[in-house]
Amino acid sequence: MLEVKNVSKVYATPAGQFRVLSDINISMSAGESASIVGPSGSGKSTLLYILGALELPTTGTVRLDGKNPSEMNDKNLSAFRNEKIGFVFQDHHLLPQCTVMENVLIPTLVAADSDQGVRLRALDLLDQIGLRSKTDHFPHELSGGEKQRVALARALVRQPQLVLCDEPTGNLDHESTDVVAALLLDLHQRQQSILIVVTHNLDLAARFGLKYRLRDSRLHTVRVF
Amino acid sequence: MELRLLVFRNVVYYWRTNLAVIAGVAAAVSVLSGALLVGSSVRGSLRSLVYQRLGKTDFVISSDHFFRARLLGDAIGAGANATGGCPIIYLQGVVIYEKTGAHAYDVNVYGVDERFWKLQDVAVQGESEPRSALVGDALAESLGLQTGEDLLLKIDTRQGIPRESLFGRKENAARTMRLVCGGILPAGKLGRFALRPDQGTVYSIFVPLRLLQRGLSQPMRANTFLLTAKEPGDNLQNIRGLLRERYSLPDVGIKLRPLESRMGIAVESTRVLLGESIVRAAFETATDAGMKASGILTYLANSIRAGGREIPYSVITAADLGREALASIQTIKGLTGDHTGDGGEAIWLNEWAWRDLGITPGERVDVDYYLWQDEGRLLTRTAQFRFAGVIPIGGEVDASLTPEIPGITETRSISSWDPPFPLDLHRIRAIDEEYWKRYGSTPKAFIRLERGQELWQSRFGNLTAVRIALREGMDLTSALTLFEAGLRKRLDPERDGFTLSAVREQGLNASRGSTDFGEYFVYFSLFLVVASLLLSGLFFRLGIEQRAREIGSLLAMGFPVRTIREVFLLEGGLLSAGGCLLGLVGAVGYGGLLVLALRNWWIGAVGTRYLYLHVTRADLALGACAGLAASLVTITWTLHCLQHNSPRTLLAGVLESSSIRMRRARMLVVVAAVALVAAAFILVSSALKVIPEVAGFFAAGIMLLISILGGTAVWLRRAHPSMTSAGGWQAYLDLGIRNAMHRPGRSLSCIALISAATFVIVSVEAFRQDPRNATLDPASGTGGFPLLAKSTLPIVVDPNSADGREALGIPVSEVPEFAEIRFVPFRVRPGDDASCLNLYAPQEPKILGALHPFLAAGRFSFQESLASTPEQKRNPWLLLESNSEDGIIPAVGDANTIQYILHLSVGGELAVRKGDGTYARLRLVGSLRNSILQGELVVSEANFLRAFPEQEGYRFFLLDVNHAAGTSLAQPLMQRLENWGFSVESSQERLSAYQRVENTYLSTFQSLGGLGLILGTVGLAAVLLRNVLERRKELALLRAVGYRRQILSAIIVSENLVLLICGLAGGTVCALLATLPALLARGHPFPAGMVSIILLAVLFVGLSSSILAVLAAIRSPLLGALKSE
Repeated sequence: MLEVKNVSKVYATPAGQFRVLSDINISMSAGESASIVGPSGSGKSTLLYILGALELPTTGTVRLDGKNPSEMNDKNLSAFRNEKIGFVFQDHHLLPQCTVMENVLIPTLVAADSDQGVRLRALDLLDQIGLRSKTDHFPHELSGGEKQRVALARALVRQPQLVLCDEPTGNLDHESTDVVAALLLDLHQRQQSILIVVTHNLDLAARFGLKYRLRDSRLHTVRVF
Repeated sequence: MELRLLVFRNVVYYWRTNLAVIAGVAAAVSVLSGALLVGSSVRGSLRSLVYQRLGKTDFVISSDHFFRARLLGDAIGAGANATGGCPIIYLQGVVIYEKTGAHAYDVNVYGVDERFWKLQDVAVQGESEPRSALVGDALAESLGLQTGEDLLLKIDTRQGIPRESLFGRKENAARTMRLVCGGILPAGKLGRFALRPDQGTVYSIFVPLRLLQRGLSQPMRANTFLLTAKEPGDNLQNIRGLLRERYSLPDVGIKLRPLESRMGIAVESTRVLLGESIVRAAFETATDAGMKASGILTYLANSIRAGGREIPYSVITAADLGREALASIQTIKGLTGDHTGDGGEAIWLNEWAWRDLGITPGERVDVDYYLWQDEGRLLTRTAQFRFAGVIPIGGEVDASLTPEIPGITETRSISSWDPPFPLDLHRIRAIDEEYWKRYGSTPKAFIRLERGQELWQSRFGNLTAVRIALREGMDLTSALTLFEAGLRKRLDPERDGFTLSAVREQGLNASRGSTDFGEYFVYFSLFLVVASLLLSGLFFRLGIEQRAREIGSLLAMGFPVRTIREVFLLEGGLLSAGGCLLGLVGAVGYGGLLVLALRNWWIGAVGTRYLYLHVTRADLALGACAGLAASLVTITWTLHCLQHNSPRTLLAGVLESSSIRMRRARMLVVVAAVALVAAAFILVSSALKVIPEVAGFFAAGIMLLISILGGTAVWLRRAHPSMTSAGGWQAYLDLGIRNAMHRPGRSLSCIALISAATFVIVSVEAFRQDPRNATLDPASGTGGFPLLAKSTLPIVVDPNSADGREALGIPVSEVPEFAEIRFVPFRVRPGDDASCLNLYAPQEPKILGALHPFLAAGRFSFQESLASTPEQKRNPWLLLESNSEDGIIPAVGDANTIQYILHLSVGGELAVRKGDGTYARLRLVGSLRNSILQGELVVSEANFLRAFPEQEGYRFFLLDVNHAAGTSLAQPLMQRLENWGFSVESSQERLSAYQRVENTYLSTFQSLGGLGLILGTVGLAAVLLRNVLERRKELALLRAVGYRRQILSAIIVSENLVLLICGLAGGTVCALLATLPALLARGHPFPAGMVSIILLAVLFVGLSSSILAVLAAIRSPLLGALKSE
């Protein structure tokens, strides 16, 4: 269960305070998915980083599974992120020095409860994203779409409760976008996680259960884009 | 997958950047370990040199007089299998190659026989001829001498009687021996045999022992015994025991003479005067044996005058007649007006003299006598007495009261005397000759002992004999045996002329060196190390910056900061370890290179080519550990600087968010301001003399440098300036500056590296001494003396007096050009050269005894002194004549010698061995500034003679001559005084030799600092290249909008130029401030030319490397970078 209550974010700049988010409220349960759209600079990514405990809100609270990341120290926060949250960014951020399999397994390296099954799970995920045959390949040997699929598998390998995607198809062509989007939804359905996607792509945004638009620092629920 | 695998993957994937990090660490370790290896190499080479020069010699027994050559020979053969040894004669001499007239001074002359070569385990050829001498290679090379050629050897034909006493010979006693060079000995065959450690050139010549013994009239005798330890247990204590067991009284110059009456023994010395310890031992031995003893001082009177009559050249004895051992000598009673003679003015005449003078008791008697003054003059003095009585000739009153005086006592007539003082033969009458024939040297007059000692005692003693009277019923033979055994037991041969030295141990101790070259080279190489580490850190930082997004991604995945830091630290550790291993190989190369440089280009610092690389595990390990630790600290610091970034900024590839940038800028403003205030505070304190000026300005310079760097860091982080709207160079420069601000950390690292290295190079240049500037000002380092000289043989006459010049063979009538020369003589206690020219730690520094006129003149300049009175403050030399209650001798030394060689300070003390084997304490009361007296310590003559009474004459001279004619007189003077082994050199050249050492150190420092600077410019180029590669898209865009390659290059180079100029200007300004007092004190202009050349060279190298980097970077098609977008 994700509970976001009255979250605001204000940045201090030489020109004065700049409010990015105001009074954001979200409530989502396992298996639900949402998309957030909005113009550039509207604060979509900031909201996503706050939801993913990479940044702290200026006011308000975020609770995932009843826990508030703001109240955690760095060690617990890192463990929380590792266990509960999966990230997919516009840029895949794969480690160029590691193989596909190793990249998928990266989050398990610091997992407190890592078990022998993670490798099988990683293989299963790679199977599901159609890259089983490329487990030993390095990122530079993959296409853009394939890299993003590996990033997706990496985000899901710890079976997180919350999957956050920041423009996951922003760098992909139309065909790859379709493939990644389909996989994203498919894997979300299977893992029954909470999925939130920030995107400019309205077609992609339309494929998720809840739809939000971020404008003038506020989040608005919309029916259709 | 495990974290270790991730670390491994990282190390392999980023191999290019990592290789740079490894190279940086390797360079640091190479430099550190290599510098330490230099220290070990110098020590190791000096140690090897000790082995090479001493051969198998471990111990040396030497004496200031000749002893039986078989002194220890029997003992060795008889049983002490552990020790081998051989007697030699060891002298200093002058060798002349007649064919060319070439001279070599300070030559070690060794009289050796086959025992020496056997002991040293050296097979030699060419010694079969009786006149054949083996010549050391250095000496042969210096003279241009070949085997089979003739050479002349001048040596001092030593005699026992001190020169500076009435009976000692003042004239030159040098003997010239004609020899044939029988062979040239290489260093490996003892060609540079020396008993005193010195890395400089050693001249040695080996002469057949028998030939030298004959030449010196010392058959079967030697003055040195070499010993070799064959078992670890052999030590000086064993040898001491052996010497005490085997020495005989003649070996310490003592003669026991049985009196003709067979009723007594006379204890006498071959030196005429008995030393204090011998006298004490003789009296104690007599007391122990129940025998009576009396002291006797016999002298020579030029005239005994009374009542208008005089007796010429008479022996006169001071003794307490009628008492103790002289109880049997009584006056003839019954003379009219017999005088009791209790007072000091009493004089008794023997019956012959009484009759000759025809006087009555109580009548005045004048005694004229010669008195030798220590400053080298023979004076005639008169003492007045009252005739007290007549002594009958015969019984104890005979010639045995007079010691054996060569040239006098053995002659048959007075007219055949050959005394070491002027003798007017016309004064000698027939009756005088008759007396001599009949009574020989029987004294004609007697005075009280106390009065005689008051008149004639000298520093060599105040008795010529101790008379021992046999006990009643004792036979002479058994008394002699008993007394000899008792005296031997009481005497300590080490107090009476023998010196025992564990030369190998001393040499090895000395080989540790007064200067730790390892430490020096670590200092010299410090900027190279810092530059390497900064570069290493810079490359590591570049690597991290390159992976900023990766770090952000890991954070997003739940990696704790600590884990990420551990991963990077592990990576850094692996790279550092790799760098260390590589550095160990580099250390051997760097160390080897430095040793090679010291042997060739920087030979001025060491003065020897005998220097080889000695690799020790300890140095390598220490350097590696230090390098590893330093690189890990650098890496940890780099990581620490990065940990404040949020994952979001890292994911965006930003390492310094604007908020952090602002926070750091604020902090840097504080740092810069504090450093500036500190610099100002130090400057004011320095100007007010609260802190030493030189140190103060240097510290202020460093603080200013920190302030400037802080200010630059703030400037690089300021809000981006608006760019000019105009085009052209101004716009390109603006762009360049903007680019430099893009990565302020990188830019600051480069500026810091260049400015720090510039600071060192410029400030060091300011301290460089120009030998051409050595002046002849009395307050300068030359003391205003254009020439200085030393003589192999001591000169005992006053070279400034007409008589002295006559005696030396330089009378003004013959050599008027020498008339203006004023000699300032110094007594010398030979010892180790304490100047920077000697790498060995001086165990026994050379000591000079200065006369009062020199001290009163107040020449040279003092850097520091313990002066307390206004007079002493005006002239600190006067401190040497102050008496200390604790008996410590005040001494003055050169500031460099005190600080860097003796490792002491003014007020510090050191112990020096006296002639009798005990130790005297010297307190350093003043230090001379940069003087020619760097090799020795100076004490007053009075203190010198108290501590070293056995050291005779003067052997060091400062020559006051007309400045213009100064150097031209050197050669004629050396030729004229050749028999004394007189060598003259220019004071300015001597000072230059010392300055060369200092300048060589500075050059070394500069060269290695320069290497650091080059490393800095390479780093600058690397950073530039990195920046260009990172900004390829940006540059591609500029190309797309119409910028030509040349313009792009100009923009990039201008960025580099900004950094270079900032670094050079900052470093130079601070260095000038830091060295301002030193420059003003030196009074010479700042070496602007040399500094400008250095700075331009740096600018050139920096710009060239930048241009090369830029050309390499933009040669590839930039537009491709846009396509990949």
